[in-house]
Amino acid sequence: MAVSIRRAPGLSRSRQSQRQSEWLAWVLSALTVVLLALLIYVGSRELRDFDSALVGYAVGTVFAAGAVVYRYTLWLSRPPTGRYFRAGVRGFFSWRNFRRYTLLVPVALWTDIFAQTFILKRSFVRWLMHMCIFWGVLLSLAITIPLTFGWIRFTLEPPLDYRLWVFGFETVSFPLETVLSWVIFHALDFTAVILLVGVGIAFWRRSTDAGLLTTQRFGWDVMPLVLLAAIAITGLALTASSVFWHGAYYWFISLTHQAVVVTWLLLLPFGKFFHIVERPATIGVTLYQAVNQGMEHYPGARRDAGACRRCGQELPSPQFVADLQATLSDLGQSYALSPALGALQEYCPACKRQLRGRAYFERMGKQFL
Amino acid sequence: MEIKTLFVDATRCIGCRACEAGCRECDSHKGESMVMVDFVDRGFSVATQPTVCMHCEDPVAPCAQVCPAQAILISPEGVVQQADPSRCIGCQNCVFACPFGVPKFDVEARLMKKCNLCYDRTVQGLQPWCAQACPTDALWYGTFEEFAARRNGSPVSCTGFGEMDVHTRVYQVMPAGTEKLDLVALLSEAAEGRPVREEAWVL
Repeated sequence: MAVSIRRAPGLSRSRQSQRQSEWLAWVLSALTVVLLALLIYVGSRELRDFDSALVGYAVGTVFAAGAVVYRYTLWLSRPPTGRYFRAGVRGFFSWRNFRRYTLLVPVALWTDIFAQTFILKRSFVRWLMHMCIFWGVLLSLAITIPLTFGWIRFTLEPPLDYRLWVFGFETVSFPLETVLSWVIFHALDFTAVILLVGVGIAFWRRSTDAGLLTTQRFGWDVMPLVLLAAIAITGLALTASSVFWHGAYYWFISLTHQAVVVTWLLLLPFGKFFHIVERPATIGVTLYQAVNQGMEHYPGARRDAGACRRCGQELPSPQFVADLQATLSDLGQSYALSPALGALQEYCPACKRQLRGRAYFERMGKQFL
Repeated sequence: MEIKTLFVDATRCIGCRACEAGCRECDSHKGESMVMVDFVDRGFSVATQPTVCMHCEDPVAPCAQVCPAQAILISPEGVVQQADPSRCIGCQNCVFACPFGVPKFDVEARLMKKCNLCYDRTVQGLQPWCAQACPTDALWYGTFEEFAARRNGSPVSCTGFGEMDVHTRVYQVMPAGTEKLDLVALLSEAAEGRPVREEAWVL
């Protein structure tokens, strides 16, 4: 079942500011493409180290980078996102942050990005699945991108040594036919296996969990897994061809592998994989809420809570409420009730429900319909 | 296409919380209820009210609009889904922006959860768990026409919050001729006519 976002009728952002955001997005995206192309040219020593067999990967990556910047810029131009982004950047560079929340960003990097402990709270299997996919994809990219851009290359040094060149500079050499060299040459095979474990668990969850079976969408949830599986399997098949099959089908497999990887890169800015670049915004949000609003995210953080206007239960800080009201106002919505009752956002969720209930029963009296 | 939706008639609610128990059976948030049964005026009345997501249509889903990560999606049928776990960045904007006090937030899992009208059931033509379990039809599922043919009262889809009117997919059942549930006007009336609380008499 297709699920899509719909915009509110009369959503407040004017057409002019939307057009400005689009222009900015185009400019930043074009700058990214030019900069990256320049870095490839310079980093590969005027393309002398560039492997033309890998041109598809390089072009796909450059396109994906431009498209990601385009979409990210438009995403930041949304009122709630822009507010968090601006305040998050201000918060990061504030003295209060460095003085009081020195460890907040490193801790958040660990819990939200590298170890993703918050997924562990959702379910262990889900965390294991996501860690495998995350590290499988990230490590593969970290190996593939410098290779396809011609930033690193290997040369044979007779009789049996291999040398690593980075940006045209000579670096370490290591002997062939050792465990170390075997691990280095098969690094992408290891990441492919890690990825396959994650994708396998994901397929198992998606084919057995009744809730997921109904709410998942093929293009959004299943297709990315199919692509990742195809990338990992064709990648492993390349090794199998050269090690076990005497190079049979190598050309066909490498072309197929390139085709699926490029498809994945082209889809990166548009589908589920956009959350790879979107998700780190959690750290910005955490920082903003902790530094600007004293919300407690990690042990030791200072609390600066507000209180519900009706029951006194703890609410986020007054600034959170004020910022939320400003965002709603940007969207053309105001929930100011009356001078006596204040605004709806000053109440806790339970009191909002009870206020509505009291109004309802005031109208209904003792009627039974 | 006939649109089926929920009709909430709080006057029929007996506070049995069968809806909450039914809701915990939903496959998309196993073991956790997204329906909330509240005492409306504890100490003065035993009246209770069930709250489900009202699936706001105009303005469409304020929770989704204030979401910085576009994590809350809306199905083509107008059902506002709970946050996409891959996108929710845990800012809680939705929790405090919702005019009806619906979304719940799991702090440790950094995830917003809310009623999605039992999407797994309703897309198959089944009624949501809460309506299935409700013994008094305080929560009733069907089309507007079916409701009009079978039940008394007028389904109202507009709730007024001061200057802001919110039109919802879920109806509240009110006396015939009522156009909207005007929160401010009714709460002002309630404040004026409220009896003085008597101290408990203890021997």
